[in-house]
Amino acid sequence: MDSINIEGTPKTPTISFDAASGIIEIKGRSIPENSIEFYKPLVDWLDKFSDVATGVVNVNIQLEYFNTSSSKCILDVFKKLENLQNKNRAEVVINWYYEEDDEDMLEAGEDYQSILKIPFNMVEIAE
Amino acid sequence: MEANIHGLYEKFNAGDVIVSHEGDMTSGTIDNFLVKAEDSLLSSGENSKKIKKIYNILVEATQNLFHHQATPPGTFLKSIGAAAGEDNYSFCTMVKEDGGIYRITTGNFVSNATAKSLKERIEQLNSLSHDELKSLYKIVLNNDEFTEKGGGGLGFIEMARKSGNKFGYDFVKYNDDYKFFVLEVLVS
Repeated sequence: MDSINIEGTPKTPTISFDAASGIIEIKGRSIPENSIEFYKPLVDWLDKFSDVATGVVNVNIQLEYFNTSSSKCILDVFKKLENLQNKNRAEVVINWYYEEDDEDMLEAGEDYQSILKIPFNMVEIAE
Repeated sequence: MEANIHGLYEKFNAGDVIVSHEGDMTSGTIDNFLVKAEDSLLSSGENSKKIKKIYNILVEATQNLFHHQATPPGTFLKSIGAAAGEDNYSFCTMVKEDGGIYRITTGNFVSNATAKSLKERIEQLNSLSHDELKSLYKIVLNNDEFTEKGGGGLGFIEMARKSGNKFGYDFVKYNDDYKFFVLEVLVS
């Protein structure tokens, strides 16, 4: 299965979805005016990935900013990962990174955590 | 007599202006606006936590204008000498006030029907506590619906959460069909 690698821009995050290693990363800023357009291929990829994933799937989310249009798309990504965990033997771990003192980003991670049934690690990054 | 919209912009765009825009709010305009805002805030030595809150609010505020600006009456565009192809008008300005308070003001045309529903929505959000806003955010986040403009219906809730202050607002009558909507968001 092909991996997805997209370089970040000032409005869209760096994406690295690697089926072979089971590492899924979203990093940077996610503030496009139309997030659905950006996230649709990622959500579709996760659908296919859920049929082949095994072992541990490590998900690293390290966002500096995301807008509310992205927040629903990010939830869609998490829901696909939740389905993946439910339908096969892969174990999903979400690492939610936030900068030291960025309580809002920590709270945003906790908002997702409370909606989903997959384990979240809240990881503080020293500035 | 029709309301003086440019005069309204000038009224809010006075004092220690950090960033401002008046006219068509395009994707490129938003990019420039956000870069300028962030550069100014970073070079001012403002607290990074506060800069993040402000930046988040500016993203939502400008994207609201981008998605929801109603095309203003042609007579208005003529009166401000809008160039061909510029068929929208809104403004966004951020002013630093005494006590380190940032006042973000946006203005855009809305139909009378939109004005009515917007007013109800803002008053509802103004009546909620921090915890109630958090609960509402999570409900709307998880409702699987996107608005027709591709937004998640979360922009105002997010601005209220990040601001921690009540919205200020006004609907200025422009003519029988349109109102000019002014929204004020404070970060203290």
